[in-house]
Amino acid sequence: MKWWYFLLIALSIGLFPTYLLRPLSSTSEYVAPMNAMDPEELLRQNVYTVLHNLGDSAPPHVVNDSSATYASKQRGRDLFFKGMTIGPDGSTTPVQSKMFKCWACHNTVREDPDLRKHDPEARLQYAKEHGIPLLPATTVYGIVNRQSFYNGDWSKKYGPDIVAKVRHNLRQAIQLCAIGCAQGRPLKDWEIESILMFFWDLQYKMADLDWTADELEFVHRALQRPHDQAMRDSAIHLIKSKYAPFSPATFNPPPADRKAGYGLQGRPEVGRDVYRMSCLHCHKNGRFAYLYLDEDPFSLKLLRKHFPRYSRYSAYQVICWGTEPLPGKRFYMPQYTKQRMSPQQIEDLRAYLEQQAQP
Amino acid sequence: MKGLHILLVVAFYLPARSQEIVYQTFKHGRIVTTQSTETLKTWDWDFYVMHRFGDLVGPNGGTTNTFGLANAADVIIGFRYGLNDNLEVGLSRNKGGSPLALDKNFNLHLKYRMLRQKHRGTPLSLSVFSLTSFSTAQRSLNPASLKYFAKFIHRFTYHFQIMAARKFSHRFSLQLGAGYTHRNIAYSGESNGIASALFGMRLQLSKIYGIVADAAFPFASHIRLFDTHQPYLGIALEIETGGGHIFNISLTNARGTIETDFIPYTIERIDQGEFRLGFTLSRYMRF
Ligand code: HEC
Ligand code: HEC
Repeated sequence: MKWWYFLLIALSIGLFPTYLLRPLSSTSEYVAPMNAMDPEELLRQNVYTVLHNLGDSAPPHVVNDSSATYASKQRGRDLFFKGMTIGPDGSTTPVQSKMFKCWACHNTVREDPDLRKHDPEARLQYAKEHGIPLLPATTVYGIVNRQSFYNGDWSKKYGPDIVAKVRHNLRQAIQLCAIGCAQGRPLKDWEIESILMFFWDLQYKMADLDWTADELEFVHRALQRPHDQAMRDSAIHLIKSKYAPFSPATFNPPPADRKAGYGLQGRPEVGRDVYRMSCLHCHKNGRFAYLYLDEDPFSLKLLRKHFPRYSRYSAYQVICWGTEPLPGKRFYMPQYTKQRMSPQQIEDLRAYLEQQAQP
Repeated sequence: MKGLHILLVVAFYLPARSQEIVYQTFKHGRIVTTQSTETLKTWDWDFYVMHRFGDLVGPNGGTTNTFGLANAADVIIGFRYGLNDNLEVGLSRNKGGSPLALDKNFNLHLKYRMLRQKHRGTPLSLSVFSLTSFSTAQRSLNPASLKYFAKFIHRFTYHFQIMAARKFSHRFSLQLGAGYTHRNIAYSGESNGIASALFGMRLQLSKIYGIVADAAFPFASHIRLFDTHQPYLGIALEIETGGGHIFNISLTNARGTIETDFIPYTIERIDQGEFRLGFTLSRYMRF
């Protein structure tokens, strides 16, 4: 036998213990000893990690090796942004949806300045400063920190039976959205798991929450007292009070009298932002729709003219109720809930169109 | 800091912006009857029906023939599919328009967009188009007829075309093209190949309504027998009815709906009332 043969065997035996020592489940990535941390360091931690260290129970959508072998967050990211990835057999998966990619409707970054609130006014300001679009669905940033999904009025759209299945099950929520919202094929288990891993990458950090020095110090101390469960519980409670545990959804009916509108004074400058940051995200160059919209006079006139009408081009109609897809086959426009676009912003849009489309 | 920011914007944002693609030079793959530079987006299907009625006025039109609505000069039913954003393939079946042309055809086309107009970049879009038409007509017993089909290959006709278009504004687009049509069998005295010049334009009136017009001029020296031949001329009101539907109502002199028909065999004279109503119904879908 050649000498290097021995070397190889020796190396493999030598390296075997490191294989045994590898993290056994990916959740371990989120669990780190925290009692020796200073508050500064604490701010860099994931919210979930801190909660976990304080003894909070793990949510059902934690990912671990047993849930799917082939999943990875990179594949999840691919699915989210490109609608396809490399499958277990080494070839490209069929595209999830030919209509939409997840990012047509969901942001992947923070979009609310105050994570406790779902205030469309504050969001518009924040989104403008950060150059992100205003979309009909909620951001997936921090989605793993939420405890319930498809809340409020979504059960009216998808039916109480379906929503009951997904309400406390993020995996099922992803699947429902892939089929029901993105109008595509069902995701395989490993694909759902991959998207989930990608979502775990976008979980809240302690620094995302709004802390006073005292509060942070309190959490810090609670972490150092493994036996004071009462203190730990109030720390958990404190952390969870810093962000909304779900995104509420209230459908927003169009005004009864569409000519009169919601009876609010529209602000044209804000309306322009609404138009650019929401409508053009999908309609510019027909990116996610058949209707091409831009800032040219034809587009603006069309929308202005139909705004108060009962027609397919009425912005009241499409914003408040969306448009209907043919089952599984077609582009459709998702509706905006009150939490995603306020009546005031709809009036702002109208004011902008009226100002721009003056003959 | 501010200076750096401006520099970054100028260095990266502006060129990126200036490279923005110009969309919708035309709204459909056909202007009225001739091809436009447009191809479908990836995964888009387009199902379309084009209809050409009988003569609107003149001896074969007028009130007795309900202005041509009683007759169908040509009907084409087909679909196209976007293999990617610049390559489309299409299959269609048409009845056959001109009495001189081969009829009952199956047509296969490929269109490739080689260049796309960009804002402050490429000034125009350039596409090539090829069409193969196969006639399933019954054999004629008359050796003078094109449909005598002495050889099987005589059932095939081909057309190749290159065209350039520019969208000047959201109101106006213009297109120029050159075509070459090859027939495996031609009337005696005619050459098999015919070159042609093509023109097209769009005048958008609103988001929904537009006027489109096109023309094809075959080079006369190639067509000796039928000195009565005419250039193809068409004009249409185009309506985007929403949700990926394009509809147009047209007036054309030619009866045919495919290049291998209306380029070599248009003999209808506008001044004698030999023009007709027609429409195109098109529906974009994605499955
Ligand atoms: C056409 C728009 C659209 C597309 C595309 C889309 N979604 Fe959604 N999604 C929605 C809407 C609307 C909701 C309703 C709840 C909300 O506002 O987040 C939703 C909700 C969700 C939820 C539950 C969130 C919650 O807090 O209730 C998840 C998870 C989700 N989508 C994942 C995905 C994934 C993964 C994809 C890509 C495969 C995707 N979505 C593509 C529109 C869309
Ligand atoms: C998530 C992507 C998305 C956003 C954001 C969006 N739309 Fe749409 N919209 C669509 C799709 C998809 C359709 C259906 C396909 C089509 O007809 O274009 C549609 C349809 C429409 C229609 C009806 C077109 C028709 O032919 O029936 C109008 C009008 C419209 N949208 C206006 C707006 C306005 C105004 C906004 C901004 C408030 C907006 N859209 C934001 C995706 C979007």
